[in-house]
Amino acid sequence: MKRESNQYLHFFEQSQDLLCIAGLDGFFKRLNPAWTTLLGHSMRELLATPFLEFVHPDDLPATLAEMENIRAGKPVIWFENRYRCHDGRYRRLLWRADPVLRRKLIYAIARDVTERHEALEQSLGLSAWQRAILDSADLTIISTRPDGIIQTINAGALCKLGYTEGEVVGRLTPEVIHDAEEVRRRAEVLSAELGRAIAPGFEAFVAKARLGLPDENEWSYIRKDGSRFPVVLSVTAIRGADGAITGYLGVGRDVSARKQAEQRRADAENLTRAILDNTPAVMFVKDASGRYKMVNRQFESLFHVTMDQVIGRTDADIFPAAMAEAFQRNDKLVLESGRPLQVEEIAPHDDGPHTYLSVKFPIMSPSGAPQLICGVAADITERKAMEREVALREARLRAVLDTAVEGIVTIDERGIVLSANPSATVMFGYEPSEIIGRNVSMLMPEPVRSEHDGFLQRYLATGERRIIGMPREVEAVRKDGSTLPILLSVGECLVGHARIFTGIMHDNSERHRAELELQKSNRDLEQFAYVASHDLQEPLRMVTSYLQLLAKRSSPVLDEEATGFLNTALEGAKRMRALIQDLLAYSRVGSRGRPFSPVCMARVLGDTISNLKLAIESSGASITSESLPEVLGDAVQLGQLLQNLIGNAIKFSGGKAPRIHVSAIRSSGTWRFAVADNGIGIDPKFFDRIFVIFQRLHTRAEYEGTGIGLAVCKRIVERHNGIIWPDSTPGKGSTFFFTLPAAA
Amino acid sequence: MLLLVEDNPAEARLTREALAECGLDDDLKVVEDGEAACDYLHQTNGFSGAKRPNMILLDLNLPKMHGREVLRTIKSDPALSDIPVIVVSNSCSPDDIKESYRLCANSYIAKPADIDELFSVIRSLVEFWFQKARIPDEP
Repeated sequence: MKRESNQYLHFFEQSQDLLCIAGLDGFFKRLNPAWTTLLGHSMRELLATPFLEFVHPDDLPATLAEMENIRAGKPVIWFENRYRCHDGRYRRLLWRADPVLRRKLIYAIARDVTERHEALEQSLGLSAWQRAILDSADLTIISTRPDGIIQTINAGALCKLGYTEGEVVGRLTPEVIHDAEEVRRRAEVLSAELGRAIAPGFEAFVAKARLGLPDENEWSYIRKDGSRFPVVLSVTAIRGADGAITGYLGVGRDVSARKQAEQRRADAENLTRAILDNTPAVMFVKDASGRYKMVNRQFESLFHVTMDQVIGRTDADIFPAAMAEAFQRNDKLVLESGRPLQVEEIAPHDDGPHTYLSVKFPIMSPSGAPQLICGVAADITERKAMEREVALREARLRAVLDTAVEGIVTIDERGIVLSANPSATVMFGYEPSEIIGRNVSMLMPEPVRSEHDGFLQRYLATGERRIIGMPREVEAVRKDGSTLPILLSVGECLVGHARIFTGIMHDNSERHRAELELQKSNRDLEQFAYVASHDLQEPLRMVTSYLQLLAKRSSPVLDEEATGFLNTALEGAKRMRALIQDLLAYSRVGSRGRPFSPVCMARVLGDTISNLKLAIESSGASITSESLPEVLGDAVQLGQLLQNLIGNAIKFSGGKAPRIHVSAIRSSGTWRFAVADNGIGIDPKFFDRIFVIFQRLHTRAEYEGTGIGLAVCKRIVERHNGIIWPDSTPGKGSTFFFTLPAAA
Repeated sequence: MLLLVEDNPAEARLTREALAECGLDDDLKVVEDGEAACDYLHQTNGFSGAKRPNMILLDLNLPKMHGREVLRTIKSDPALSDIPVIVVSNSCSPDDIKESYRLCANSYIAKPADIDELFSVIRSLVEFWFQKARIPDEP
């Protein structure tokens, strides 16, 4: 054992490699002579100095970090740092170390790799000035050891990544600045490409470089602060003189700017595309020979083609011949003139041809010749239809206005006449130019003329309607100063925010005259009827009286036949007298009527019943009523009305004891009365005839009377602005309804 | 004596017949219009010396001068206003009736259409005014 250990000692003493045992306390415990040879320090000095003091200050952080690993029991496999020589220079040492924590010792072997490193540096061109070049390049240049630990990193990379050299060199692999997911994906791609499993790690960066294959890839670099930028990274293997790989070199080009530009271009393109595809207009680009180069989505959907189908085709391939020819003619105009063209074109839609307003314009080649033709076409079919509709409506309206008998005038809010149709100008005796633009009050007599502006303003301010919507008769003035009655109805309409009033005027002169004439004629007729029947009475009286006198004086000498003739003559005279009296009564309804006043209908019914006392008693009639209201009318005539109706009910009872009921119900401003009986009734086909004067439904033998009663009733009700109508079931009874104005 | 103002001779004849039934027809003087009535009463225009009547039967509907005017003239003349004036008319008009009494007619008779009624009305009139009522004697 001892001999064996002596033999090892011999190796220890003779080894060119630097062997040592160091303590976890930071001091060398034992060193072989190679140390003194290499560094020039005495053995004593080496043992007495904490070994970290020999380490190059730049390498100290890395060395301390490695010491932490050792204290944790991890062996050092590959670690480089620089040791100070006695003469102040540094030697680069490549360490391999194994901690024995139990004894708090580290067994380490170091190899002087200064020369090799320098050679490497030389091969990397890392002379001071070359380094300066690397540092000034706008590239990330990172070299690693074969195991991936970063060996050198240029200023550009440090600056872009935000690390210091000490943080990365000799400590980290480039994985720290890569996206793990990207690395994994790359490893997958490479595994497939190279046909063997590539681990998702450093291997993914160098797998191809190791094989001597060119490898340039786009990666995301992750800065120390977590932000990213895109790089195009090319990785090369560095080989020593023996051809063995001594490390890798990664040169990265920051492509943020290019990427951003690409993004901007893509954004712009998307935007343009979005606009093109979402506009309701049809858009297209054709080349000079008429072949489509682009169409938008609207084009695709309207004409049921896809862009792919259209590109390279011409209009003739897509549209009906006539339309295609029209398109091509227009295209030709644009190409020949080199100027934009606005033109209406017809294109086929599913629902028939549509009209488009197309703007076609050329795009010039650098030489100035039209190279492409662009088109933007808007569907104006609806607008065209609307224009036609508007024109048609306008024409219709114009025709109505021009031919209307009514004068039609429109005015604005200030009363200024905007339009006047031919009837209006004729009605007032003006030329159109004399009315239009002037205040409409010129057509009105004083004092309305002066007040009209005020009316308008008040309406606009308060919205209080005085005349709008209520046709009324007003007086108007002609150009010559004469006045005429017009029936005026005023309407208003809003056009945008402007209010327009329309006045429709009917010349009422004629109607006025006619009304006056009718009134006069009615009066005359009544007067005639009154006078005639009055004057007829006297001669009739003579006829009757002298016939009677004859009968009185001559009866002894007259035979039976002569007496019969005499009696017939007397009967005729008597009936004629009854007719004349009825005619008188009928005409008196109009001519002898009294002014209206409130009339209690219950009282009128009471008076009527007492007037008819005899008839009621002899027929055994029972007359009932509900509470009857007060109406506005002529009490005498209303008495006559009830008397005629109840009298009829008793008269036409058909032998039964008459039961008569009088009632009334209110409907807004009027009362509707009903006089119902249980008599013989009236066949509905006679409803119209019963109100005609002297119309009778029965023979004189059946029922007496001249047929005046209901005619008088109708006249009385109508004089009260009411209506009268019957309802009846023959055999069951009749009901006469009539309306009268309520007293309040 | 009785003065009848009546333009229709047939009417006048009927009235005379009715009066005859009462035995008064001899004492009847008939004038045919309002002006003649006034002339008679004022004894002018050929009526000089005409006898003052005890009673006047006056139709309203008269030519030239309306019965109402005759009535107004009689009743506004103090020399004549005491003579009873009986309006005998074909009219049943309330206006005529009212107006007549307003002008101091002594009564208003609507001529009945029936001759028997006419005779009976005339008889009642005669009985009332000549037998029952007291009227002024001639001045």
